[in-house]
Amino acid sequence: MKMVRPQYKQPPNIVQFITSIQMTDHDIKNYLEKIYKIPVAHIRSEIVEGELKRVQRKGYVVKGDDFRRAFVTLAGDEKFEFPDVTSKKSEQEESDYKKLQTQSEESYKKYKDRNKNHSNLPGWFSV
Amino acid sequence: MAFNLTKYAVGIIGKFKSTSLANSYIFSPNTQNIPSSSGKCFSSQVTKNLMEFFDSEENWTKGEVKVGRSWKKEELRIKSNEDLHKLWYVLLKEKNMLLTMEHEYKQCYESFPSPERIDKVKESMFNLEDVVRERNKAYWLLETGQTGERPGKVVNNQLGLRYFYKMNEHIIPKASNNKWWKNRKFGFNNKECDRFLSFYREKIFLEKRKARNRDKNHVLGLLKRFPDMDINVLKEQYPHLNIDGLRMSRKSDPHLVPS
Repeated sequence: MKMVRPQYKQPPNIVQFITSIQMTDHDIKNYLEKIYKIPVAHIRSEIVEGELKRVQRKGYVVKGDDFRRAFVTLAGDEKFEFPDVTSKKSEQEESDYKKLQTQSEESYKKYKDRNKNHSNLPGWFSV
Repeated sequence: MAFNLTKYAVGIIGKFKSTSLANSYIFSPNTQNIPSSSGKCFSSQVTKNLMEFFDSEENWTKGEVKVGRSWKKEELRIKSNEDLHKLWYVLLKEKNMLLTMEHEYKQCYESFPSPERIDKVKESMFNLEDVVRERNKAYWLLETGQTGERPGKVVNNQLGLRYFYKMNEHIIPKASNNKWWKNRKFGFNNKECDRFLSFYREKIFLEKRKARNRDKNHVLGLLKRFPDMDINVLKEQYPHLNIDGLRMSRKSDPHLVPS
């Protein structure tokens, strides 16, 4: 069972899950209430067929796994907003990349400074 | 799949510890009870519980999350049933968390850090279930003389290949269960299957023969290069080959200058 970001905009008290096909609505309710202690008012679920995809340059068709999509309505006044997991990661990665870039630029500058007076000599000569 | 396993584990451990686990839920008693759907409750608590589907926030930006290895069977065998029961739910929650995170990263076209965590958790759960099954078997054998496992048998499928069929209970007796007779896919009785099987067996035979010839030529080369080799070691390593026969072969003659 995994929680997924809703494909279309949902009311704030609805959370979307993907579960195995075998689970019924009662199963999902018990699962959430007993294992995760989440109060559930209502559950609506449907079986989704896996996507059919044609493999590039091979021509045959591959089918993805079927799954059950469940829309869970939280009881009471509960609300849940799906957190933004990945945006910070891309920022972090960008800053890391910039750091690397500046580092390599600096090291190249150092290398050039070191070899100022060694014209017509290989780069390892000054090391 | 996960759900079926859960049910199985609960059923077995319930036999051992029926009293202590019946009223209190899976985890330690300091967690809050479920608020009834009519009464109000702390919204922060529910959000917190829902956030168990996500990794801790410090791991969101990391490119690699360092974790230990999976649980081994030897380690699980020395744990009590209660501990195993708790550990199962810890692992189940961890698996759900990892699946959620993997899905979300995939949706956002980002790389999921340390995907091997899922395999580790799955291996731990597999080992745990095996240990529980061992205990269940021992208990059943002691009490009833039977293993208590789900019965099954080896049958042929429609292609004529053998597989393990797991039997299950039916409400309607077999003789009058038309649906079962219609859906059962055992046995094969046509020319195409025979043709397929002959080709299939030929393929297996050729693979085996190739492997045997490869070994044979390897041993011949060894005998050629090292004529004073320990023959007993060779015989031990290649029990399916006739080493004495190979030694007599002209191909195993060493590179010696003829005198």
